[in-house]
Amino acid sequence: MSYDRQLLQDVLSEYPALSALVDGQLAVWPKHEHFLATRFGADDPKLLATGEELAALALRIIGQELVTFCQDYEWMCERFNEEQFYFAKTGRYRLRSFEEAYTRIYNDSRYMSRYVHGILLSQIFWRNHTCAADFLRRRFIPANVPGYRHLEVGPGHGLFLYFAATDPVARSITGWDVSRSSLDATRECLARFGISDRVALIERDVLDPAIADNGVYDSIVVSEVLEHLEQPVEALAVLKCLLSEDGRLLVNIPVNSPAPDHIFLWRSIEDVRSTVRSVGLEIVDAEVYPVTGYTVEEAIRRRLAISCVITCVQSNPRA
Amino acid sequence: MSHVLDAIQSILRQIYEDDTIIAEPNLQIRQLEKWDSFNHINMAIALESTFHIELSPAELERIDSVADLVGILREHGVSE
Repeated sequence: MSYDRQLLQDVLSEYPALSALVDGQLAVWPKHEHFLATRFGADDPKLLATGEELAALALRIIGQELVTFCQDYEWMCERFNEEQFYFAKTGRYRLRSFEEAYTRIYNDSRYMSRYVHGILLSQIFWRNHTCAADFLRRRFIPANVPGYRHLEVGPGHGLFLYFAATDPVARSITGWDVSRSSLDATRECLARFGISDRVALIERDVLDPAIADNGVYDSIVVSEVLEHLEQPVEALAVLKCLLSEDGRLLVNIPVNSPAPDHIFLWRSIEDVRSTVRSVGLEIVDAEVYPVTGYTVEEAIRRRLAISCVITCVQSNPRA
Repeated sequence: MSHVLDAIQSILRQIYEDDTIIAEPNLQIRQLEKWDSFNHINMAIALESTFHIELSPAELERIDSVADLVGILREHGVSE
């Protein structure tokens, strides 16, 4: 047995769901062993516990299709590596417009299905993704006021929406997405958890001028969505208007994070914070999570992805 | 050592920050201590620059060993 495999076995021995996912992934893609050993070998027990919880939920979504999901994760990583190669050479993301992303990806149900499957596993396998879920689970949702009305824009695989939908003090749960395929994936996830009736899923563009929901949400999540837009600042301004007076918004934006459908490039943590402040939002809680295997300083120096997770409120709600 | 292997060795030592690396054909690049997908990409960019070639993402995926690397370089007309 290799050193990495032994390390994984030792670290994950008390985490059956994580072990099942890792074993399934390595059966499909043995070359991923070193990455996964780097990932889980560095985790503390708290993050492993979050990973185990996410893995158990993911296994419920996956059902009998573990091999398919693992193949789709490998396929997605290959797509991400292509974009990382392009980014490392050119210093920019490949796509310039939402229309390009829509035509190539969002309107392709087969592509979207594989992509959403891959992203689901990345939630467990990529440290910055697990940390962002941990932030949502432990710091954002528990601080919501009882009876809160929750909106997630771009719920994708549905795990984040699940956390809100199973929170007993939440009053209403809504998910918006511009992609019908993506909403289908969210719907399927919620159905597997038996909570479809608790969540309203709506096909909607956040920049749709017909939206008249100002001030009705106490809790909004927009995680890894704004970088997919041509006009993320405008979208953020709309989300600010949707917040109730004491409402809280969780924003998760990755910097230097090339992906097949990423359009808008933030190059630094400060760029992200400036964007948030520019629309009249005040940052009340924030963390930065570098890509697996790197410190924040190394990721900055090497221009690698860092997830910027921010809780913000309206800076002047009565103005 | 050929000039090609010599150049590969310099790139591997620089990218993987290990001056003890010897570019033997059977050296498994993905087994190097500092190997990850980012360094793999940086290695490919250094190869492109050194040998004035352009590698495809599929070719990157095929690179496991120094022998693989030499084979791909040969396909691009770079001979030892």
